[in-house]
Amino acid sequence: MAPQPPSDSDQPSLEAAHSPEGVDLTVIRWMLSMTPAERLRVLDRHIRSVLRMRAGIPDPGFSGDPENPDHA
Amino acid sequence: MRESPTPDFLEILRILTTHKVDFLVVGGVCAVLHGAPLSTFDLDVVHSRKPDNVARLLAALEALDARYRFPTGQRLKPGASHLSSPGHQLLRTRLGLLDLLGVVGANRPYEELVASSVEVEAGEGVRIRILDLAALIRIKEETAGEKDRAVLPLLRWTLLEKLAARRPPPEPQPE
Repeated sequence: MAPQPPSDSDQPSLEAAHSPEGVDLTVIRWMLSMTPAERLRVLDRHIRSVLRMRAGIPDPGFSGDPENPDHA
Repeated sequence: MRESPTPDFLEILRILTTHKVDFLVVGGVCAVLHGAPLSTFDLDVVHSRKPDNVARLLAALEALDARYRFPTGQRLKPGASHLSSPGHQLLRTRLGLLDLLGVVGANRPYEELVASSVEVEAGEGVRIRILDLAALIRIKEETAGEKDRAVLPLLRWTLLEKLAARRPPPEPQPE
């Protein structure tokens, strides 16, 4: 079922960590806290990380810290 | 099958804007720019199919060393007739995979979609137009492929969280 537009009465549910269908809302809020350029850099790092893992190379460039994605 | 280079989406976008190509970013990169936490390995773009824009796009594709993605490794460049068609041109460039889409969703061309787009700075001063998030959701609903349906909940909740973040905090109640 598609989520309904938020109303005042469902404000507490928007603060939940997951939507009813299991979407992780905390990661969405983290992405929304960034500028579009920062989000593109996160995507770049994610791709590099996946490609490195696929090649069996350790990834020195991503700290794994969602609060500070740009710095190892 | 030939390995693809690690994508550099910003550099592809820079080359398209440097060549003054009229285009909109759609698909996964568009979703990410809006704040959806998903991943993608290709850049989806809807371009204007007007002749002067196709000429500029061809020059940009030359700079990107763009070729069709054939599993056999066959090297075929897209031509003006391909880019003028409503079809999807799935390309491999020196900076990653680039899909050029003549139309998306219910046969919607660039000229129709541009009214539902926003301009963003993708980094290092590169300004591009991307489909707005509500329009991206509509396109995915129209396309209704299995892959598109899978990301719809993520996109809808990203839109809801965006709207919720814009709402002013509730007025303090008098004690």
